[in-house]
Amino acid sequence: MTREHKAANLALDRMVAAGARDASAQAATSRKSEFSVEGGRFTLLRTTLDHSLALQAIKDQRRGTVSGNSFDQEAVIAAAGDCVASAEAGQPDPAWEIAREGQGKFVSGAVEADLDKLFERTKELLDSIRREYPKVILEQVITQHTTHNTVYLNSHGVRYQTTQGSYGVSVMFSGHEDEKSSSFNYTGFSTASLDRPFLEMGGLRQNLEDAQNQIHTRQTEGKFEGTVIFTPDCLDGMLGELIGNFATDGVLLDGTSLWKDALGTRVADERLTISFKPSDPRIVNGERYTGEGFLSEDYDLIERGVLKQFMISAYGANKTGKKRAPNSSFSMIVEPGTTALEDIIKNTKKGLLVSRYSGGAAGTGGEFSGVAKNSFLIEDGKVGPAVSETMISGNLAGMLKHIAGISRETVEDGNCSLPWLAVNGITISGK
Amino acid sequence: MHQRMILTPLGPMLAIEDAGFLIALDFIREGDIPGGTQDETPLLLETQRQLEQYFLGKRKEFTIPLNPRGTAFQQAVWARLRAIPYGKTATYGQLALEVDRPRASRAVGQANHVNPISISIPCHRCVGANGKLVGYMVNRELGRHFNMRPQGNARAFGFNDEPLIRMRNTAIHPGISKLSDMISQTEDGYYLINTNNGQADTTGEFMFGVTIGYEIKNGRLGRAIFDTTISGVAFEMLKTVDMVSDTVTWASSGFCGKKQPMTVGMGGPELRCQVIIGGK
Repeated sequence: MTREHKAANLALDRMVAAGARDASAQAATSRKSEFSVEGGRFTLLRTTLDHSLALQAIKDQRRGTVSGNSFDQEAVIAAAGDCVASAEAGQPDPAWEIAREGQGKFVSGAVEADLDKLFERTKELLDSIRREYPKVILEQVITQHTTHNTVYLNSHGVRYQTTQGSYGVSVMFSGHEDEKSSSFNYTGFSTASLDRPFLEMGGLRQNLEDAQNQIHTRQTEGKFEGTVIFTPDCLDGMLGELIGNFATDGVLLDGTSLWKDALGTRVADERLTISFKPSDPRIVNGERYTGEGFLSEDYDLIERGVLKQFMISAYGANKTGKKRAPNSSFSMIVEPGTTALEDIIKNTKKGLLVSRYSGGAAGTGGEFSGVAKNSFLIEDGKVGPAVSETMISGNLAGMLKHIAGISRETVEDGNCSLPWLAVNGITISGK
Repeated sequence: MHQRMILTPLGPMLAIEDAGFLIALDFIREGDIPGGTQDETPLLLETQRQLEQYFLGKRKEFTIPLNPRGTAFQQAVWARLRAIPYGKTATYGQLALEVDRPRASRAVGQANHVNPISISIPCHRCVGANGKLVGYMVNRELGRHFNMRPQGNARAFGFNDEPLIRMRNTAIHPGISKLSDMISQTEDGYYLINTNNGQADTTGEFMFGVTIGYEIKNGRLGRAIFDTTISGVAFEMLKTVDMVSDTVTWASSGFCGKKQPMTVGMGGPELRCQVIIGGK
């Protein structure tokens, strides 16, 4: 029996013995080896080992949770006691639920680290960037390998064991020429294989090239309505904000979601399909089970423009009478379109190509405004100069109904697969 | 080329001469004192003599022929720096104006940063607005690299995180204005009260999400506004501040996001300034 099994078993037994009829215990060990590069030079190699314990107890419809980072017997017993005590102190709510069935043992990704190869790939990346993108300054590069060994047990006999390993790369950079600097930008990806150079993975190469072309910028004058093309890197955040605002537990429970009565209706252009697919081969180490103990399955959030499912937990589903999301919605796949990005740009009269959005959180009505960072002006079908001090404003819900195009090209970063998305009717303003 | 290590009250400095000009004068670390000859050229000996007089308070100007190496912009900045008299300071913004690059305050700072001839080209006389620039946020490693005193700015969040240089508890000092006067003396503007997030850029551009705010029309608070975002370039925005309230409010619930999360506190008075406001 592994240490994770022992810790989870002990915690579960204690919670059940203390009267928690619904209880779950997850014990995980992660081992992370990380190279850090700052200012273009290696500054750190470290390997860290971490334990985590996540307990949940539901007693008399009252729920308590506890997190810990020790598998020591004394610490686990104390955590289990605290968890039940926390439940006893809570308010009763019949909506709390954990899975009643589920078994599985899962091994995926690169479980064993090849640190020599990781170092070679990292050094190769630094050398390639110096050679091919001389105006780029690397502010920080982190390359790492992480392995997670996790055991989940609950009081209804649900048992999962996962072993997942992957490499991760994150790069923060900016373009520089004499006294001029581009905005900083960052990108990253996960991978189970070191077969390809890092520069060819995710959206890194395009972002570096763009950084060199964003050193000299032009201020946007006045205000106009135009088309914004979001790059895959930027689209990830925009869609995350949108879905969070309209389709998650919180906004459905408090009733502020604009989509709360929209299930089965058209909320987007019919070309748009958004799915969460942890089992998709493009996803590295997708989720195998949810925090409530349900086996993860792929699902469509929006299929051809129609809202098919909310992104809610079993608790949220019980509270609202809606269906539980079949996974925790980490692995977003947006189906590509049929138009080449080049043609989408050609069809854009006036607007922006936006690589990064820096804005305040959108309000419950979906109104957003923020700065278009690392972005280029598009005029008469051509990408023009990079812009500075330029804001974009619009409505998240409205945006999906005014899609001008979805590219057939996509970027896969191991965590999601996204195309370029063009949206009409965005307010673009400068000084 | 010739070189000479010169001891000063601030630590050892290395002076380098090329073709009759001083091309570098910089602090070096105790452990990095170079070997080789201590050249005794007339220029290096004169440099040492003038430095000794300077640190004894007997000299305010240097008369050594200099030839710092840098871009045309850097040369222009360094020339302006040399024109700042002893005992006086200038701001980055002033220098940017003087070299006809009014938006290049940050670049002036960068030119200062790479000044190859310390003391004689007095980059220490260039400071932040009103305020004076009194230091940089460095940890022990960078303090050693830049020959600065460590400022205790490296912090780590988790037990297995490495310490990073990052935001600390940060406050703007109060001014003398009353908030009521700031509002009543504003013809057309906004009173922005609360924020939920923010970000600053390498270019100096910043943004903040605004969650509570009101219009100001003819000196009176008007309608509440939707959630919005404000932005600007920090170096320019700070120069537009014309009123600072006399009351500091602290918010100790923020996080700095830089690889790891980190709790920070923020405090300050109300500022009247000019920013760009998003929205339709």
